[in-house]
Amino acid sequence: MESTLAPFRILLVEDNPNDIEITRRALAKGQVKNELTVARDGQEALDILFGSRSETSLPGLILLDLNLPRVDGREVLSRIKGDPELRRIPVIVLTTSTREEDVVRSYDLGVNTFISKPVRFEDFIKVVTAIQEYWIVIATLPPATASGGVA
Amino acid sequence: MAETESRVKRMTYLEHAAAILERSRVSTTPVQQEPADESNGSSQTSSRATNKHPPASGDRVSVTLWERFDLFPFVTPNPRLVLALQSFAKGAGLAVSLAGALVLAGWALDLTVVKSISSGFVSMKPNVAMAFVLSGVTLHLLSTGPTNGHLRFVALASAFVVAVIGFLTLSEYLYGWNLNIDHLLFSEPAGALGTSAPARMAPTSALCLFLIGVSLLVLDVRRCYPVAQLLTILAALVSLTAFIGYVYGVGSLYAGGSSTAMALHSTLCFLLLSSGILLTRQDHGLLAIVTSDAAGGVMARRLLPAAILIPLLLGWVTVLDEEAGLHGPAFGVFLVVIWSIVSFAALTWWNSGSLYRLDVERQRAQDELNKGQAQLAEAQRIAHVGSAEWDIVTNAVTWSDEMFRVCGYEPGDVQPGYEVFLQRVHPDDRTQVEQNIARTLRSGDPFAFDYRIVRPDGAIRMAHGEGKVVHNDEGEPVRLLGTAQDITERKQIEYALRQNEMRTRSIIDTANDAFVAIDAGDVIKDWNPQAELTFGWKREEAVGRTLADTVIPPGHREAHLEGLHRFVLTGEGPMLNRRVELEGLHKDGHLFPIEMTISPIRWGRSHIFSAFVRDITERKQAEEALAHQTRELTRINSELEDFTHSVSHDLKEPLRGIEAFAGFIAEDYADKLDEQGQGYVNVLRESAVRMKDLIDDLLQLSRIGRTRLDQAPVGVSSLVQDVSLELSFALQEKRVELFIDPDMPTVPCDRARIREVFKNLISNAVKYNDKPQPKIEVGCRSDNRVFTFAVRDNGIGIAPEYYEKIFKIFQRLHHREEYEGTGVGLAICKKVVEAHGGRIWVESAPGEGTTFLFTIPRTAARQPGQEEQDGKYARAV
Repeated sequence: MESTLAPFRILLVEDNPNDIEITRRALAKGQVKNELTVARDGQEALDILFGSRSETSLPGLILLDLNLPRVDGREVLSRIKGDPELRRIPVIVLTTSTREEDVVRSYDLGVNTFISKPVRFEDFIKVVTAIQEYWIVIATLPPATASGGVA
Repeated sequence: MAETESRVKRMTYLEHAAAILERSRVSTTPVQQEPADESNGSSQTSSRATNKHPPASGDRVSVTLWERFDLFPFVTPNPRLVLALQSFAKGAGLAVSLAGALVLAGWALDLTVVKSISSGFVSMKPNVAMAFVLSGVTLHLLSTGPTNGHLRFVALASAFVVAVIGFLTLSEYLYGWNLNIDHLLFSEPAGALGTSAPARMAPTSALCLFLIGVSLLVLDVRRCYPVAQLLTILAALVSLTAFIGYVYGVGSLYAGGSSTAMALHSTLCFLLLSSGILLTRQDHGLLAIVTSDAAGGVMARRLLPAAILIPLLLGWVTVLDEEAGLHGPAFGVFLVVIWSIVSFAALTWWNSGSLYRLDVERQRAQDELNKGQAQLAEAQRIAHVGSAEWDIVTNAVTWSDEMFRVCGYEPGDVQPGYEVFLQRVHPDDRTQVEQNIARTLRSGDPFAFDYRIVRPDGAIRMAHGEGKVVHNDEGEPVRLLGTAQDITERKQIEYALRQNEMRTRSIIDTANDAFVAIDAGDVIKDWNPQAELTFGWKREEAVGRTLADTVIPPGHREAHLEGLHRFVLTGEGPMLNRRVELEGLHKDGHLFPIEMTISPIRWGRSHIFSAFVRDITERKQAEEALAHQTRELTRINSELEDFTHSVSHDLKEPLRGIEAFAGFIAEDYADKLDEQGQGYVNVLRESAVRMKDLIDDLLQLSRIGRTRLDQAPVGVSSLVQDVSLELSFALQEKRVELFIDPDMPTVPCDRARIREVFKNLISNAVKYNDKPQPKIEVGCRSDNRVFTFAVRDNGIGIAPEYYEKIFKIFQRLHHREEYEGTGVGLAICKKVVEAHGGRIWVESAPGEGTTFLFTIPRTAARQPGQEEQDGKYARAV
């Protein structure tokens, strides 16, 4: 399904350049037009989300790795979900960890989906496609975040 | 004199007894000796009733003859009466002597009143007077009791002279001789009144003198008492006849025809003398009965005087009556008859009454005695006490009925006897028994000892013997009394008790725990060797001290004493009968942890408290070390967990890069790569993916052992349905027909892990199947212990030699090209099942299919983490 709308804004918080490339590539293969912003660590992500909130539009979706330098992904998640506005943005944890406690903790903090990164690129594409499919096409999201405007 | 004799006799009996003991000691009582001993015994018992010497069996006839002469063997003289009679006899002797001397004096002074009492009477001849003096002296001497040789000789010589005087005078009369003995002392003018030859005594006097002389001579000759007494009685009768003649005025009675008459005072002297002689030996012969305390004696003493006096009196009255001419002679006879009837009837009636009462009393006494004896026998029977009596004097042995039974006989089975008894004594104990009894006989001290009895049937019984010697008034042993008590049962109980006690003692002494017992006053009563080691106090030191001051730390002493006090008062003991942990105080002053259980034992009206105490210093240290180790282990475990996660994370990230970028190469540079290059890139990507699978499986495997199972009831049917959904792609791809039993039970287990097991097993079943129509069945059966689950396929099967091997990690039976897989799946299954307390195995036939089976216990498996809680026990406050 080809979208004619403005590109969907996605924030990828990921420190591994390989994974950034893989994700970018997987997203590119999807049918949804998107604009990917990359934060290389937790602090950067927080800066983007909290600091420049008025200037730039907020992302419609956040892909968050857990193990990050400086500020941990869990901390980032906690801050996002603790914020009355940011909490509406769907956050998908995309991590190598399969640790049960990470899963549980993430959901406790209000994550919207927890996904383990598949090793096989084909599978990765499937995952990313499915994320786009679901969160951008199928799901109805609150207008503020969808439009990127401030309430 | 008699006493000396009997003492001599008894001494010989004692020697006899000692000889018996000696004899039985020498011979160990062989069996063949028994008949001889028994015959001996029987003669002993037969002689028992005689209270006399035990004769040799050849003397049996003479014994009975002697017995006949000892007429009244059992009479007991009345001592006061005896004394009185003895004095009478002495007095009579003296009186007769004086009378004789007086008459002799009368002859010397020619005093008629002395010689004849009255001129109308015959005079007492000087020889008679002389004889009276002598016989009076003899009687007096013999009545004075034991005399020395001289006096005895004087007495017997006098008696002899009296007998000779009588005998010679009698001879003169019989043969008409004149031996010129009549006026040896004094002469009498011829023609004296009533005198046939001058100065010659009357023949009756001569006879009496002879009889009395002989009787005095043989008075103390053994077995001659009746003879002497009969002679005396004869003399008394002769003189009585003369006396009656004087009293009744019948001359023929004292004069006896032409011969000289007996003088009046002679008759009196003779009567006095006779009485004295009879009474001085009243305890022997015919007279014994008269003086006895028995009913017979009483009767004799009542009747004899009457029998003598009443006829005398009646006759005298009759004579007086006749002389007075008041009535005719017939009346006199009537008087005698009627008074005899009345007086004797009255006397008989009176005595009958006495006899009747005596008899009734005797009967009652007999009944009492019988009753007492029956009671005694019964008591003996109950107590198993037999008694025996050995009359040392007669060597007679009597046994109570129970004595027979104690020895294993029925009463009367054997003749009781020392040898019979000794034969029943266990051979090993005989010497001891004999020595004990012999010592008692010698020393007179009582004996008491234990020994064994071998009954005739061979049964061995334990017996306790006690006994003593009974002495007579002179201090001579006369009887040996003994008892034998069967104490087998008691001994057995004692033995069992002792064994029990020894066993208990040895258990306590060898116990690995310290054993301490205290009484209600906190005083230590028992202290075993381990207690010595634990607390440092020796048993001798500890016993008698209070527990509080010995092993209880000062801070706890008050609480301890209070607790003890409270239990004694109220019976409440929160510390009792359970395991408590406390601190103990060692003798050297250091404190150490102890564990103990105190049990109160009721002891009479009080209590004993016993405790097993264990020094748990080492255990405490071990517990401490263990807790430390556990903490350490938990820490390491969690570190390891973190480590494996980072490892898997860090390992997988490059793998993902390899795979993805290899993919990018294949994609982006497809036109620049030839077919081989494309193939290499694919191998690169496949290797990365397999590496990732391997890491995942290893991670999972490592987690099973380290993390706790999350057990909860799981419906297995729905679980397997979930698995089938997860595997639906593979199932559909190979067109597998999967049958899942819908009625599988709900099982306590870790859902995720068991899911993994089913997933692995079903995946395997799908994977290792070459059939065009693969079939998989999942089912369950259960027994009362376990659920057994089965996953059956119709696949390639497994050869039996691989049944074990397949469960090992990285064991693959096939080339990777044939079937993909890491080789970890079954190892994971095995680990999960075993963590649940079950087991897993395989049943298969190559080419026909495989069935994997595993069990899950019905009750949840215990896990390392749970044990800590369950193992805790109540601690004392």
